[in-house]
Formats: sequence, structure tokens, C-alpha cells
Amino acid sequence: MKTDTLLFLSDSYLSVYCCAPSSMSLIDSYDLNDHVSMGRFEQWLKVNQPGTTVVLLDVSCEDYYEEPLPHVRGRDRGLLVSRKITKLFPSSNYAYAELSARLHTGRRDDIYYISGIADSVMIDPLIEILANSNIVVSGVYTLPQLAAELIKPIEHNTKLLLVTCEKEISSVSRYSFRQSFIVNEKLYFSRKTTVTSSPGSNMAEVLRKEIERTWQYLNNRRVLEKDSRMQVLLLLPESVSTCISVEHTASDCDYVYIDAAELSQSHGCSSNAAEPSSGEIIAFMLAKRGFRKSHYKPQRLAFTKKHQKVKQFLSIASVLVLTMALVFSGLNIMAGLDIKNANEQLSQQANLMSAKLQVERNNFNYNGPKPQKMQAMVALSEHVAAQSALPEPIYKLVSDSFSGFNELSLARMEWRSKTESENKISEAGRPGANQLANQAVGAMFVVSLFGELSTFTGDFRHAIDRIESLMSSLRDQEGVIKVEATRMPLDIDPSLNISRSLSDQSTPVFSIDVTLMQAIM
Amino acid sequence: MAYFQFSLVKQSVFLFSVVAVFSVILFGSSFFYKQEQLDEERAIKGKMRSMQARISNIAHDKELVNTYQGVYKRLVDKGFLSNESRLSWMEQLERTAGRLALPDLQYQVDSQSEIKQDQYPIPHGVSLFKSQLTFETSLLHEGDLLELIADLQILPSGLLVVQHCDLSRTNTTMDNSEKGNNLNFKFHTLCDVSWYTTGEIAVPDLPSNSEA
Repeated sequence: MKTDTLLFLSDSYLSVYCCAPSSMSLIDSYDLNDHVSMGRFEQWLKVNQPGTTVVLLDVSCEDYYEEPLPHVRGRDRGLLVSRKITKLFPSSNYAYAELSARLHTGRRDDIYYISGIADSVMIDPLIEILANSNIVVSGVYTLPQLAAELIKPIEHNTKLLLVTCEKEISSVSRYSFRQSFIVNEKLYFSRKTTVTSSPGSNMAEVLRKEIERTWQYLNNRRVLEKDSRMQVLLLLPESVSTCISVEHTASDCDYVYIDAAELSQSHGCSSNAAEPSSGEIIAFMLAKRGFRKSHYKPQRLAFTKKHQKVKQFLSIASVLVLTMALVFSGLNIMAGLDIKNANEQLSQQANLMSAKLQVERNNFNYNGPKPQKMQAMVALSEHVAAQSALPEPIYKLVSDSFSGFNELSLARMEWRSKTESENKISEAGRPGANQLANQAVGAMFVVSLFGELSTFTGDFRHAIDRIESLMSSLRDQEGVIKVEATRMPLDIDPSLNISRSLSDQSTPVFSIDVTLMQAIM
Repeated sequence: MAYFQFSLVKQSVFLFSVVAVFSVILFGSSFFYKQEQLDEERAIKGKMRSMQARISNIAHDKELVNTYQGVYKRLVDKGFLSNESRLSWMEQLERTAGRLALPDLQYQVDSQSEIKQDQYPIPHGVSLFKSQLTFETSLLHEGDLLELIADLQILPSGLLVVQHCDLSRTNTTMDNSEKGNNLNFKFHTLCDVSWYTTGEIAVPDLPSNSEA
């Protein structure tokens, strides 16, 4: 997020900075107590309509608390912190809580550092102006909370006191000193005091006493280790540093002077000012870095921001909807045109086909029965006729088969056609029946042959051999699918009893069943 | 302070509404235009399919007519599509018996029965009828049976189907008083033949094939 405009609000004045990627310049400063000056600021807002704006507060009315809270997670934590904030800062929109550490003993509570502005009467006019001007404020930050980040490039202890100084615009001889005590990169306490530099007062001594007071306060709260010396980082204008350096240091404190220009450069800022103040460096730091959680969330700005967001959303949605509509409509129209061209060609083909159909109709001048009916009736007649066991093929079969078997005489023959159901049963038991069924519809006949051995001499072996030869001859005939002897001159089945009298001179008889198939296509 | 003031975003909402309505109209119009073209394409293709099917049907009908018209005509001539004619059968049997000198020919014709649909592929709207004729006679020669059946087959009185025949050798000498000589009948036969005819069923829902 690139911030365009940063509003730096101190106790008495408002400074407007314009931020660039590597630099920041002061545009103007406005006296908060001067209505004319604030009217000028309002006018500036209307004329310039700044884009994304950040508000940085450096006020003396900010309070700080250290609160142990039970270690809970999720929604409960939020509710717990919220309840504590409401208790400390009732009906205030300016409160911020940050988890510092967790106790290692006892209930192992979480330690929260809570800061807030109980009375925001000084800030409200500015917020009201911003809201009325429909300025979108991306965040409201407090300077002390960013102090730890300010001194990151500098080597320092885990517990230290940072002293910064801002020269007040309204008065040449007044300086605002802010003492921020930082523990483990988290703000524990901050205090702002105003010191007047005049010939009658010793500013260095006053500052030393202020630092000693702070040390005493921290020591009383047992924040500092016993018999340890407190590190004090002094980020002061050169004139103030010179003044203070002649004064001896506060007791139990070690002073470390920070060069503002070097610090500013280490943060990547090439400010136009020769000696940037701590506020300016923090302002640049805030502007340079991307999105960060806002410390304070005034309801009045949230209201404006919500409407601005709705407007932005609607604008983006409008563009998106219009773009999508144009794209999809274009695609539809292009597809429609393609289909239309194809339809014209299809219509031509349809006309040709229609003409062809008319020609075919004219050529096919037929007035007889329906062709499908003729086909069905012919098929029916073929099925019916196929069941006919005409005598000619039976005679031919018998004549061909009995040729050469003079000793076997045929006494009787009977043939009959098998019914459709008998055919199906027979074919189901026959190997390859399916293939044959696919090729043709078959009609089956059973021919029963009853004969006798007219010249029998008592040689059953020979008689049986001849009958089997006859059966083999029958099998070789075309259309024969099964030949089965139903009676032999002598039944030699091992499972049967045989009894015969040698005096029996009757003529041996035999019978054979022949199954024929006549294929019809 | 109100949570949300519509007046602050009224202009944006109006602009968005206009854009949305315009977009909907634009997209809807283009969509309907495309759908219209698709419908037209579908209609033309359907019409073409229908015409193609009609052309194919005509070609198929032509092929069927070429293939079956002759056979069908023979079936008509054969009387397969007409009522049975029992009198013709009896007359033919008597004529044949006289010609072949079969004085002991006996026959019996059963009542006509309708064949069930599942036995044969009977077309819709058609009934298949069967009348069974059983005859028994002595034969001088086995060829007489061929002639007897051939004489019955040429009758234009339906489709003749020989279902069963029993031909046995005998040594019977019969006195043929009409001819005044003794004939040596060497065979005896018993046959069951059936006459198949068809008839049309009147189906009110379907057009009758009166042209047939």
C-alpha cells in the first residue's frame, strides 16, 4: 500500500506530509487552536482531495496500562481484551491492546500492554473534518507504539528508555520531550512533557530530572532489574543534544545519543529536512511500509470508510459487469453470426435434399400393398413352409443311404417335422448352435426307419457292423445332423440282460432315427 | 449517527444499476440472438434428418418391393391370403384317388384353428389359421404318395405343410371292383397335412391395408 498523505497530529498542531517512495516532504502545518488555520486545512482537503490518508497521533493524553489476563484463545480472548479495554477506556474509540508476554509462573497469564485516549476531544475536530470531506483514512496510528520499530536499526538493550524531542511550531522556545519505555520491542509506557527553553531555566536539568522521575516510576513498578542501569536512547535535535551533553547524566542511566539523519537514512528516507524529527521518521516509516493494523478505529471514520468502500466496490463491480457483459455478448454475437452463416448453407442443402425427395417420390410410383407387409407375410410363409416334411427329400435320403446294403430291407418309415419349440430345445444342446441360428432359420425333421435283415445267417457281429455302416452312410448325407439307433438285432448294451434261444428263427429287426435339418434363409 | 446512509452512495448505486441493467439487456439480447440461431439450426437439421429418413425409406421400400413383390404375388395366387377351400381339397383328393386307383383312401379334415402369436412371426393385424387334413390309403407304389401330395400342393387354397407321414410296406391284394382287376398294394400310408391361411384383423386405431 502506497500512502499518499500523512497527517501528523500533535497536541497543538497538525502537519501534513506528502510521501514518496523514498522521501517525505512537509506540505503545511496547521494550528489546532486556530479556527482560521483549521479552515485552511479543510479548504486544502477539498481542493486536493488526497487519496489514501494515514493519521499519526502524538498526543500527551494517551494512557498506558499493563494488564495480566487469563490465557485463552480465539473468540474468548477477543471478548476478554475487549471487556478490559471497555473498563479502562469506557465510551472511547481510541484504545489499543497488544500481547507482550506470558508469565512463566502461577496462572501463566498473558501480559497485555493497553494504550488509549480516554478523552478524544482534541482529536475529534480533525476526525470530523476528515469525515465531512469524505477522506478515506486507512489507519489511525499512535507514535509511541511505533517507537520500538523506529530504533530497530540501532543496537539496544531489551529494556530501554527512548527520549525524543519535537520543537513546537507555535512557540520557538518550547520543546516536547517524549519518553517511551520499551520492553522486548513492545511499548510499556510513554510520557510526554513540554519544556520551555529560556535564559532563566536550565532545559538540560529539567530533562535530567524528568528522566530520573521516569526511572523512579519504573523502579517503583519493579520493571527494572535491581542494581541495573537503564539505557536511555536520546533522539534529539542537535541544538538540544549540545545543551544536554554538558549536564551530567541521570543517576543509574546510560545515555546513548542517536543521530537523526543516520537513523532516517537507515530507514531509507531521504527527507528534505536536514535534521528530521522522530515524528517525521516514524511518519515516513509508516507511509513506506505496506498495510498494518490500525491502532485506533474511530467510528466516524469507519462510517466514511465503509461508504467509500461501498462506492469503490460499486465502481469496480460496474466496470467488471460491463466488461463481462461486453465480452460475453461479443462472444454470443460472434457465435450467433457463425451459426447464421452455417444455417444458410444448411438451408441450401435442405433445399437440395427436398428436391431429391420430390424426385424420389415421383419415381417411386407404387400402389400395391405395403412393402413391410409383403416382407412380413413372406417371412411368415417361409417359416410355415419350412415345417413341411415333404416326402421327396426323405425318399432321396433313404435311397442314397441304402444303396449297397442289399441285406438290409426297409419295412417301414415314418417322418415328422419337429415343432418350433422342439427345434429350439434341440439346437440349444447342440455345439455351435448359436452360430448356425445366426445364419439361418432351420426346420428339423425326424425320420424313423424300421428295417430287417432279410438274409440273416446268425452272425450278429456282421449284422451290427452293417447297420452301423448304414448309420455312417446316413451321417454322410447332406442335412443329417443326428443318427441314432433305437433298436438293433441284438442289444449289446452292458447294462442290459440278454436272453435268446438258438432255436429262435425270427428275422432280426432294427430301427434308426435320423434327424434332418433343412435350412431356409 | 446512522450506520449506513444510502444518500452517500446513491450516485454509485444508480450508476451500477444502470450499468447492470444495460449489461443484462446486452447479454440477454446477444444470448437470445444466439439461441434463435441455434433453434433455427436445430430446426433445419431436424428437417434434413426427416427428409433423409424419407429418402432412405423410399429406397428401402423400393428394395423391399423388388425383393418380395414376386414372392408375395405367388402367395396370393397360392391362396395363403385367402379363405380356405375345403371343397377343393376333397374334390382334388377324389380326383387323385381315381387317377391313382386308390379305392381305400380315407380322409378327415379337422376344424380350423387360429395359431398363437408366439409360434410364428405373425405380423400385427394378421391372423394365421390352420386346418389339419389326415388321410390314409394303400399305395401301389411309394411314388403315389409324391403325386398325391403334389396334387394337393398345386391347389390355390393355402399353404400345404406335411407334418407327419407313415409309410409301411405291406403285401395286400385288394379287389378293385370298379376296375375289375386285382391290384397288389405294396404300401400303406397315413399322413397328417395342414393347410395354412391368413386373415386380416380389423384394427380400428390403425389404417387398414385395403390396398393389399
